[in-house]
Amino acid sequence: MTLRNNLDDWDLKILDIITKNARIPFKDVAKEVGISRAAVHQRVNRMVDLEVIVGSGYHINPKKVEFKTCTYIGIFLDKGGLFTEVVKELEKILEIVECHYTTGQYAIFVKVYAKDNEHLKNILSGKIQKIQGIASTETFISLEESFKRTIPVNA
Amino acid sequence: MKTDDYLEEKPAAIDQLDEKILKLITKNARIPFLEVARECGVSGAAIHQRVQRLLNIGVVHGSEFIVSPQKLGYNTCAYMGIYLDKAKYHAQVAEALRKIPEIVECHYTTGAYAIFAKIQTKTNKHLKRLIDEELQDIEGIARTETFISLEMDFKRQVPIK
Repeated sequence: MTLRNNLDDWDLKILDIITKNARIPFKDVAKEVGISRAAVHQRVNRMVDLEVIVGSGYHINPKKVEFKTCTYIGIFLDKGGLFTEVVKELEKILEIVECHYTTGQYAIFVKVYAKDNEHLKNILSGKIQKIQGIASTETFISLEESFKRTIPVNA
Repeated sequence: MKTDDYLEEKPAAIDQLDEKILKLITKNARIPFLEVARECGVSGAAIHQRVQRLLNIGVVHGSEFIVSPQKLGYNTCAYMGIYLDKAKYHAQVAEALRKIPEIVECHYTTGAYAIFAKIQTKTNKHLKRLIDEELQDIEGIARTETFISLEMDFKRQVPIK
């Protein structure tokens, strides 16, 4: 992979704008960047093709849809080889929003949204700990999300 | 301290139509509202109004194009548990972390660590430099524990009923 996939400054400028507001009219993007609207369309399509852009969406505020508890869980496995099967099972639990295979003491690290502590307990003991291959888990409840943002595009 | 300060944020009143709309617009932010309208069986104006309301009451906050960090050269994703010298440094450390753009998420957590952060860097070397030069300079941080994500298996939003 070459330097940032051959993205030039125009591409990065466009990305910087549309990663903050996906519904901005391309006409406005064009004005801000200083190229034509057709060029913005073309560049966005190219970045979609290159998979620099992998989708778009509105952000849900989990708290407003009743998911008040955000938790990180480190998972220990019986055997490292069980990884793929365990991930398949974890993916079925919709409250798990993120799942990583990590270095360090845990084999798998996940992020979970639950409605309250009781719901979290049900997810933990009723769903996660029932999965074959999981030895134990360690839970970190987030008391406050200090901030959350996307990677710096124009750096 | 006022009592409201530690009351939880109340869930918003949303109905089935709202949920249907949310399902569509959280997967594709640029979907024409007329298409959403057709799928939900209501008018385009109604969709506009509903989305505006969801924004106003804070159920959705903005939209974005989702980029692939790898394709932008961000090849290392790491989680970091941070230990503080004293718990009272929490606010000032969180403020200092906010100034480092590579830190994309920061939480105040229970458990072994005081602060838990997510970091995206271009390379492992970049991560090392960030830890050495920027993080360890922050006053109040005692030590850090880093977990590098070798693979992100999935990432998604909270389920809408």
